[in-house]
Amino acid sequence: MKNAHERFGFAEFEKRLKDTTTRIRLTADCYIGERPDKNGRSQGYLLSAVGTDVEVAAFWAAILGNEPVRVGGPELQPQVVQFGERPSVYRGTLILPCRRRPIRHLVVASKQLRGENAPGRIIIKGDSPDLILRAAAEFCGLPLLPAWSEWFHARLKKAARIRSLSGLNCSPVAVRGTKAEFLEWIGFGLKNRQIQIPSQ
Amino acid sequence: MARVFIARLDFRQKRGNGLLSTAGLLNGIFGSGDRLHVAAWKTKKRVFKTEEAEDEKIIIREREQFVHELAVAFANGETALIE
Repeated sequence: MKNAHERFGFAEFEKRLKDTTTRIRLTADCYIGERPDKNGRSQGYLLSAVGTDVEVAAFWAAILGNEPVRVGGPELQPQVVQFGERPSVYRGTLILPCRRRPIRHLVVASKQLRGENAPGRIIIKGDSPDLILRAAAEFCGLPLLPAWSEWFHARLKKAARIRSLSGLNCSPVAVRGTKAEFLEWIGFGLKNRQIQIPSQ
Repeated sequence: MARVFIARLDFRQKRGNGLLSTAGLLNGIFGSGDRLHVAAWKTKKRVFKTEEAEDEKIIIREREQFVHELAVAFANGETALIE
């Protein structure tokens, strides 16, 4: 675990008008997105950043206008990101004892992250078997038990349903599959004694 | 054999079930023997959209409905999806 200032990345937005260029740079602590293409462009799913009131307000307007922003940081190559149409943007206030003015916190969640655009896909912040099982169980409403996490992870890997994504301070993955499919796997696993339900 | 739990009979749509299922209080392991099973509830919103043409105007009506979906996996490998 590195110190906080070494873990932070940046989220940058540049607006060019006739004779002026405005550049706004926020400090980003978390980002999830697709892996960038050859031109360094990618689709963003989640961004968490902090900045001053004016910076966050300008960034908020840029995100809602589907303007491209640049995101980068330690172990994340700078990439141009768009969050698609109608992302959810939340703003909060953080009061720090050492600062006279509070700082603003901005969180952007795309439609894909909320599961609205692609029903057969779940985007998860971490790649641990426990987190994947929990996300699948909650997102799809599946009868899964925590003890089955290793089995479920192995089953997903075997079917090549896990794809790693690009992330800042996290190791996100996208899991592909439908509720009916996963339920069929659970039934098959129980039938073949690969997993068991502990009797109470 | 005694009936341990039949979701369709015990959890008809009525006031109170929705709160319990949404809160996750009905998720978990139930039953015993060959009726031992894991239950998972999920609340979904459905929107029924109808379009009617009337005097050269199109009237769009949207009716929202919340449904509770139950996914069950029995110890013998049987699975079910009940709405």
